[in-house]
Amino acid sequence: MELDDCAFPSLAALRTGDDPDAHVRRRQPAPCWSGAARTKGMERDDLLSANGAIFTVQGASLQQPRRRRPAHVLVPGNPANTNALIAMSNAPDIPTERFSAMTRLDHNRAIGPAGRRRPAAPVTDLAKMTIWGNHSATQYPDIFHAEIGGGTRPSVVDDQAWLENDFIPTVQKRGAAIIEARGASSAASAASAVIDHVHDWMLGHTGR
Amino acid sequence: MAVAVGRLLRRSGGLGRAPSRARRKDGEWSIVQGLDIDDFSRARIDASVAELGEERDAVRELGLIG
Repeated sequence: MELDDCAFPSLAALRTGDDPDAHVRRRQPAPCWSGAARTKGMERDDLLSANGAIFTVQGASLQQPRRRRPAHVLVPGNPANTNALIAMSNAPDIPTERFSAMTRLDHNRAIGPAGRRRPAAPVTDLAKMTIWGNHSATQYPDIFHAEIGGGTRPSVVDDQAWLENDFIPTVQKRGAAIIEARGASSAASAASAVIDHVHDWMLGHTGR
Repeated sequence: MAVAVGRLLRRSGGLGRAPSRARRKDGEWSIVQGLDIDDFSRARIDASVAELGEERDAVRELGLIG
């Protein structure tokens, strides 16, 4: 209902159901899969097995021969990287570069604290933020290649204490902080990151 | 260089992320080359890649991947 109410210009129709063959097969060009959501106190190992069955079935559904074009697949649900690996492994006919785990949420999470640090910069002025690794607390938000205002190296990269004690752990643990605050995984920011991710994947990006 | 899109990091056999550049052509993308990675960054990247490897091994044991 709320998706309808957003009046998204690119949302042509909504279908719901529990038959992956019927629903995964038809989606073009970018199925966005979420899995069993992480709740407070739930460990990643619990998620691995809870989501495993979901992504083996959905991956296999992508193999349907009636697809007109190969899919592009974005996996936002945690453990996103490994869920994407499971789906990819179960869809061997789909090119591997068409699977992607969503780290755009981490990317967006890193831009806020970097921009608020003096000299402050609006989010639109920060470019080339980088996230390496797993979508988990081990991820590495890398500000060393970032630029402010079209090419300036942010001075905060020289503040080692801030990087190690504030910026990096804040971004790494943001998901857990959201769960702690609201008792459930991020929703609005994750949905917004899905839009950003698919938009830039399909249409190119502006450097952010 | 830009970093908008998740990258399939194959070195660990898992799906990690490295900077990538999306082209305006039907979802094609490429990996950004030639980045300087110092020891500070390298240690953190390696730690996260190691975790991805552990997750990959766990789901392989569960029979979820080949």
